[in-house]
Amino acid sequence: MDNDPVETKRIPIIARVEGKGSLEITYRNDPQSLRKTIDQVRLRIFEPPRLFEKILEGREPQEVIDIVARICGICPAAYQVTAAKALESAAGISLSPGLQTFRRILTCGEWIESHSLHFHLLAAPDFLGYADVLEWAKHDPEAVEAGFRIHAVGNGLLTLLGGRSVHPVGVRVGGFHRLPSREACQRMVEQIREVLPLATALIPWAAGFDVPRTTRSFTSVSLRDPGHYPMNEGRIASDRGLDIPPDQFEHHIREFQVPDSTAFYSLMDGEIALVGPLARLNLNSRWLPPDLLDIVEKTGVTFPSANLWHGFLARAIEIRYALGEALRLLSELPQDVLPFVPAPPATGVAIAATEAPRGLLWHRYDLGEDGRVEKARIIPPTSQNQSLIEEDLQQSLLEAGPGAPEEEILRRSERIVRNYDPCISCATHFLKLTRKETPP
Amino acid sequence: MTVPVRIVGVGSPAGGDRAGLLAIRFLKTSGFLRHFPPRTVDLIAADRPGTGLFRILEGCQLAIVIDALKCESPPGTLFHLTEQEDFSLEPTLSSHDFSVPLTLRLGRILGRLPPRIVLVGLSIGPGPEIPREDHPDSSLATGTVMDRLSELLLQEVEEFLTLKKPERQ
Repeated sequence: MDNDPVETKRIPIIARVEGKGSLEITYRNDPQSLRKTIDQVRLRIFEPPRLFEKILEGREPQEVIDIVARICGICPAAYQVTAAKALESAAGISLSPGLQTFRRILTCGEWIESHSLHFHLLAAPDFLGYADVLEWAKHDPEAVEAGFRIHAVGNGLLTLLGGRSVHPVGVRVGGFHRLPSREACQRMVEQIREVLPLATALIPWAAGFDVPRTTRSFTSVSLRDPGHYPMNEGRIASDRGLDIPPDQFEHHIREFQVPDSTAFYSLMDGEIALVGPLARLNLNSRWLPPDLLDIVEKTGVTFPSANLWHGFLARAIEIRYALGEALRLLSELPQDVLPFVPAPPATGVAIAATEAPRGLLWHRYDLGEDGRVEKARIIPPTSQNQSLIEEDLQQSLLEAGPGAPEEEILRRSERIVRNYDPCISCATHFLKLTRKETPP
Repeated sequence: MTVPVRIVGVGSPAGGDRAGLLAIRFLKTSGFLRHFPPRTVDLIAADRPGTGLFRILEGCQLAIVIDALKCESPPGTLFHLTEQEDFSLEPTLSSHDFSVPLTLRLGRILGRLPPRIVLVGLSIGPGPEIPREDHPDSSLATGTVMDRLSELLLQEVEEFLTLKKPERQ
């Protein structure tokens, strides 16, 4: 009832593996006009990486590489590469160009795997009006099958360098435990060539949906690596003038908790920030290869874009980019690359940042005299996007109106959340909605 | 090599989720395949295959998938789930929680599955997501649980092969 001081509605969720999410909307009632206004929107997420930071204390460098892979089942390689880069930096070693190439191929694989899973499994059914991928598959099995074929190539690249696609074990401090054979690389080249047309077709398809023309105010943040679309190298930059090395990042980002939530929120220099594919494209689209730029240009969508719905298209573009980049790198592999550079024991502070599929991933390890981790800090993309997700939700629900049916609120909210990040999508695919109404 | 029957244990190496992998290890070492003619049945342990399960099941006529099942029943309880009755029970759908039943449902829609699929759920009890080392699942690989599993599989495969014979004639 409109004049109830508090109205609460709950739709329960327990996400089995990675956590859980809920949405809480507080409405303020005006007793004169009997109108309701949205007072606050809170997206509550359980975020596993906070526990891992404690687990990492006392661990040796190689243990760190294997443990951080467990933080996420979708982007384990990003956690491994970031940790390895940080520890290599502290050890004072640099990877050979050949090893950097293999690291980049690994990252390409993870972008393809993660993006295609999100694109086809979670996001596309929203744009098509299907309840889920099962319903979509009933109507258009070829499209879903194409998605899984692309996804399988991503997994293949992860297996090529990681030994397996889920929680890979190939990365070590200084490089890889072993490198793949020429024959295995050639097989991946052939597989990439087979799915490249499928990925190319995703771009005009994703651009063709009639998305809301709403724009939001946010700061795009990503690595910037002049001459290259950023993956594992570069400085941290924003479209509002930020340009810092990764070791300065913690002086600019402020993480904070809110009551009743285990999730961290963050602000970048006091501003709400976006990380991930759209932010990367907003800052780095000029470094896409010319053939891909042509395809993007033909869609009529231009970057930078302040329309967050273009994140769906951005993922399609990055799937195509990562496939093309892996193909290029695998076709030009240098000869006689040693699998790793021996790393001397390291002490002091180890810091690195990379671009995980869902955005900027930053690690810091304080190493003791014995080389073991004394303290760890990991800032994943999830926490960097959370403030913007809430603001986007609040704006969207305002646009829906206070009297919108609960079903419509849920539909809009889940779609918005899914538009950002598969980890959050996992946690909130079935949102627990709490709806509160408070007196003025 | 394509064989008519493929038995696949799925899971991850840690915790109760490894029950399906333990089952395959037991079947391989206990002489289970001696019950069948050569090139009739093969045994595969699949570490979290996801939709890669489609490729693993390609070409066979009967697929039996063994997976750990977290439920209220005591650890070691076996569930024989058929596609027609049970695969639609699970409501969740996310990238982190794309379960075997959902994978199989999607595979059927996409036409990527063999004609007959059986899912054998091996209860690891209602315990924590990743059980402690002394959790009863650690004993699943030995003794009566695996013997009962062998009997169930034997019956399922023999029944299928018997039914197949007239078609070959």
